[in-house]
Amino acid sequence: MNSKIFKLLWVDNDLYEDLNELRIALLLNDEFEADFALNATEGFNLLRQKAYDIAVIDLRMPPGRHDDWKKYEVNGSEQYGYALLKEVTEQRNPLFSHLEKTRFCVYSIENPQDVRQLFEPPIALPREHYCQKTDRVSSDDFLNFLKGLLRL
Amino acid sequence: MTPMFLFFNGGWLNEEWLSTAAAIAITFIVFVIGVPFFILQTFLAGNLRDVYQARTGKNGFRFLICGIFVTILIFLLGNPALVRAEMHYLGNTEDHWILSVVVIILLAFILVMGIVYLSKNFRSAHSIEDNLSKLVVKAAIEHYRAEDTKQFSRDIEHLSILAAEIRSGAPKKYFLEQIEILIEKITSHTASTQKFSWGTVFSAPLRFAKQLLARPKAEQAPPPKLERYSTLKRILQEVVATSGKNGPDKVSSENRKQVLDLLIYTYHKALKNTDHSYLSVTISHCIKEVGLAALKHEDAPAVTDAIEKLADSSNRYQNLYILANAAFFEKKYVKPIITALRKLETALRRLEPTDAMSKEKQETLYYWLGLLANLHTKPGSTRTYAVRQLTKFETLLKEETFNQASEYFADTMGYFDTADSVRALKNGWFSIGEQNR
Repeated sequence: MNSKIFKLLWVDNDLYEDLNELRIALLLNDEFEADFALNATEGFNLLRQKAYDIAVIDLRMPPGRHDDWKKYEVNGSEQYGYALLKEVTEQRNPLFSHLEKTRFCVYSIENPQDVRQLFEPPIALPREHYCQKTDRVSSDDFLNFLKGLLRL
Repeated sequence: MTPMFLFFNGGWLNEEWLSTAAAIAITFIVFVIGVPFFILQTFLAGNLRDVYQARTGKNGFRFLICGIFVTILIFLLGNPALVRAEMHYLGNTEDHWILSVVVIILLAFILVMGIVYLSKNFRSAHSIEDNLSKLVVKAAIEHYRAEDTKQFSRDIEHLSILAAEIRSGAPKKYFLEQIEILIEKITSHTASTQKFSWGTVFSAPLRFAKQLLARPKAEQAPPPKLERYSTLKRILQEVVATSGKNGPDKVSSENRKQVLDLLIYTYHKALKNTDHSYLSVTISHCIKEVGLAALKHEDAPAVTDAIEKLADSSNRYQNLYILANAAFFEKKYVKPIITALRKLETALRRLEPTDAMSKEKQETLYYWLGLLANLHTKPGSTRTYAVRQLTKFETLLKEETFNQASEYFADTMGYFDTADSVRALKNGWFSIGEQNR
């Protein structure tokens, strides 16, 4: 009855499309209280306002309304998830001190070998915090991935 | 036209010459600007007009400038003062026939140019939509090959507007054929095979230069697989799926079938080249969305078609379950749910020989049980049919399986009615067993 409810933020522009069923599974799960954001600006604002136990971020997403993201634009490619992670990591002290205990993880289609910069400073994401999106990942797999990270 | 040739005497800007010039100018404006404007306003939806202006505004402007230039030339040629000077230069002031022929040829040129332009672009609203589809797809292919992501993104935005606005029937069919060409080019793009097209006289040199610059790049470096995946994903979600979601005025039953065929074609074609299994999730989602739209607009054959395509495009059957369940409860369509049950049975038979209860096998069994449980809620022969189907996989049906399936529907999918139906089915199934014993 008194089991802890984990606060979770999931930032991904496909939350109401490809990921709709996973999103519903997460909403139905009693162990999580989930917030959702569809772009980097929304994600950034929510991270600034609330302390989360876990934040799931997609690497490919649009920037949202804030112009500051444009400095991360590379050949028109919308990889602002990486930018969001970098911003949060670099500004952890002034703006995001409340996220000290937050576990950041990435759920994206890239092969982890293709995004090595993610595992190096300044972001330095632990390898086990990365889950690749494939057609084999079921709702249970995804929830188990999240629960596994919270147990670490 | 006749007055022009009758008033060769007089100075600059005499009344007859001015009135003739004004008449020609008004006719020209009505003919070249008025007719297209009337057709565009009458037959094209607001968003399509915006795309049309953005895509062909420059051509129309060039045509207008060209026409005005030629018209001014005729005015000048027909001006009495100039005619006298020309006659003097020709050495025979009595003989006007050369000048008349020149003026007639120029007038004929303007008229022919106008007729060709109007008949090519404004034969009917249908032809405007066809031209627009072809134009945008052609530009998208060029921009994709040249890796001009900004322009390509604009092309996709315009294509998504066309997908939503183009009318059902032949125009939508032609649009989807063009999209198929685009997908074909993207999935099989390894080297540039483009041929130079002259296009309009004015833009040819610029395009030729662009193609010269783009060609070696495209030949040397095919796009990375992930970028190809992202591009395809955008086209499928924003263009193809959008094409199949509207009502009968925008999508006919045949068009919707064409959309579903295109999605499954892309699945087979793209999966080889993109080497990324997540594309099947996107395609499955798109098929489900088109199927649900078909359900909303009571297009029963398309719903069944979508279910068949869902079974072909993924070995995970959640979307198949969602669509079949919606068809049965929202519109009382029986064929989709029967088709879905058969597809799930085939999958279960494929998985049955393996003793271990894999996650895939477990989920497939849950969806099959869920659909049967929903049929079981109906009285009479529907319930009898559901019970008869259960005997096909008797060995898999343990009490625990029903409980797990019920939990799965309640806790993972939020289908609480199905969760209750599965529990009711369990009670019914085991009471039959006890009676038989």
